[in-house]
Amino acid sequence: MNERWYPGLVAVWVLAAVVAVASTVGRGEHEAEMETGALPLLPPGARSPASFETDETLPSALAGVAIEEVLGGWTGPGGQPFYLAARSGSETDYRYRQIGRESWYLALRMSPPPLRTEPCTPCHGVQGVVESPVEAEAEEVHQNIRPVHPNETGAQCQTCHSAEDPGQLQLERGETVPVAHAYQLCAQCHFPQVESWAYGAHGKRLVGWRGRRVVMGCADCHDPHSPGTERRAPFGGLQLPGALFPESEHEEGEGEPDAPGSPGHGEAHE
Amino acid sequence: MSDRRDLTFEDLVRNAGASEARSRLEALTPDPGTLPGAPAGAQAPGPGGGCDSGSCGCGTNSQPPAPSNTLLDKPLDRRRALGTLFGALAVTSQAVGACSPVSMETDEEREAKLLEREEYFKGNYRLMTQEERTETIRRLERLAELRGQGDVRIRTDEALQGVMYGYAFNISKCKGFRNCVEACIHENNLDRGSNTQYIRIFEKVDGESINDLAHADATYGHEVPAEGHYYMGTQCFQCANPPCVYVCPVQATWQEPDGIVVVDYDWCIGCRYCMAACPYWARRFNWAEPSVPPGEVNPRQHYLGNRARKKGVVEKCTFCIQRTREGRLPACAESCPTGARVFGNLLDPNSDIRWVLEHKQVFRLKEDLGTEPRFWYFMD
Repeated sequence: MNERWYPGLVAVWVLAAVVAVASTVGRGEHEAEMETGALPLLPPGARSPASFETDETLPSALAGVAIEEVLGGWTGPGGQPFYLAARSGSETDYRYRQIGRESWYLALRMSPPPLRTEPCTPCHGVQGVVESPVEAEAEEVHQNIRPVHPNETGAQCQTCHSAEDPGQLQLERGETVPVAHAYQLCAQCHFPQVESWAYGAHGKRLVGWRGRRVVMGCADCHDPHSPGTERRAPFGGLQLPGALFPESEHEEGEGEPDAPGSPGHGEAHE
Repeated sequence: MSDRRDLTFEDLVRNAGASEARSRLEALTPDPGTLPGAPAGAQAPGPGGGCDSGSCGCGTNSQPPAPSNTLLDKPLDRRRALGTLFGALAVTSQAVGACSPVSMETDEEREAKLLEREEYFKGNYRLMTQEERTETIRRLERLAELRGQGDVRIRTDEALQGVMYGYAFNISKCKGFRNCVEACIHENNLDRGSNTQYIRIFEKVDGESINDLAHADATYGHEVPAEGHYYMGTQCFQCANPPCVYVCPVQATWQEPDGIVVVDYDWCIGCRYCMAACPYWARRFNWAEPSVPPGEVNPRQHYLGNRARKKGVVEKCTFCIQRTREGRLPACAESCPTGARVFGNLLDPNSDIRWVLEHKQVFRLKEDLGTEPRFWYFMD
């Protein structure tokens, strides 16, 4: 190559570098747009969705409910902190429940109330779980425990409960955590589930889709000693098939001479 | 719609009110070709072009008529003219009725009739001025009170900026308890008489295709979850390319900027084309006057959502517009006992729904139809 070209090549190289740097600088501003580019329709003049993250009005509906930040390094989508709502545990009505000032349609698990409502130390003292005072009393207090999970996994009480303080849970790495933060214990085996929970694909978010993210903990839905889902009657009750949807019967019956074709309710015929 | 110009009597004489309203509606309706995922060439089957000639007298292109020709110099459209006419008739008949000794009407009944008449002659929601909206809300709230539905508050919240709602449904988690159905009925004041329900939960045998709904049972009445089955809920998917909106002959249904497809219950003519067009069986028709027991009416209502419907109109799921525009979760998501329902803002990269869409295997029902539902199914 002729050396006369070298100054030109250097100039081109410098130009390319400048363009590359400029595009890197510019990307910061457009990052939000690029993020949403794969999904439809950011309306023109739209406010940045990030401004919702400071909206505190909705969780005020949770007034009177203890809300604690999730610990153990768990964060929600985008590294945002999220929060745990401690519930009283004595509620068994899954249909409508009062939280703070508002009525919510909040479904709670139908199994017995969690042990969290029973203080541990009056019986166990500081002597530990194994030294329960009277066997008969222990049976009475813990009668609602169905040890399905321990039986299946071969776990003992102290696999999960701290021997020193039964109000605490025992992690494998030696630390203890409060019962309310049981997700740290569960995550030792059920890591994928807890990961999904942290990011919103598992478990329940309370109150609002925006604002501070408040969720229910593992033991709010799962009985820790018997975590499976219990069978029960669905809404509408146990009844003969077809009795629940009179309207759909009407729709799919023959009494519709003016129905324009049947694509609308063709699901049952396809 | 602050720039609304009332038609004059001359317009009325030329019988042009309808096309004027239509051309205004066309200006309001977004071009379906610009919607995401809309197939190229998909056009709303609306009237093509409206009036380009300028000779039809509808006033869109032609000059406004001279004010000297108006009736008593008062702006008038067809609806208002008819309303006035019927009002005069009603007053006359009441005057006659007052002379007869068998008039049993109470003041409240008379007021309700008057309000109902005014409601009957109101316009399309999207063409109303703010004052007209305030007026109709006042009438509807008073009517609800007169009908014993309690202290109803009807809101007209507009779509939130920078928000596009999306929904994800975990078919691994749903156990078919139908708590969502129950909450939906109460939240949305659904007709108890016909047992109207927006949500259907299908029970399917493990391994069956999700699109094969022919062999799915949506009316199961046994304990759940049943062995060897999975459950899949359907409702309105708020499609980005909604066939129901395109077929409406009177544009009584449309898509809001936040993606929710709504119905103007007072503009719907009950032709049910939208029900025929919807491939997901998401719309419901009121065959009879809907009824909700007085003590069970949800008083927190939205004009485009759960306010009282009437006989002969179509209604549908609106992702609980009265809740979601306040930032709350839809009733179905809030009531789900298994956490199978994820709801959020698709435009927020840090939302739960975005994490699900980006990290789980998701799919949509009847995706090949190109309706682009904003409702995804996923598995653990």
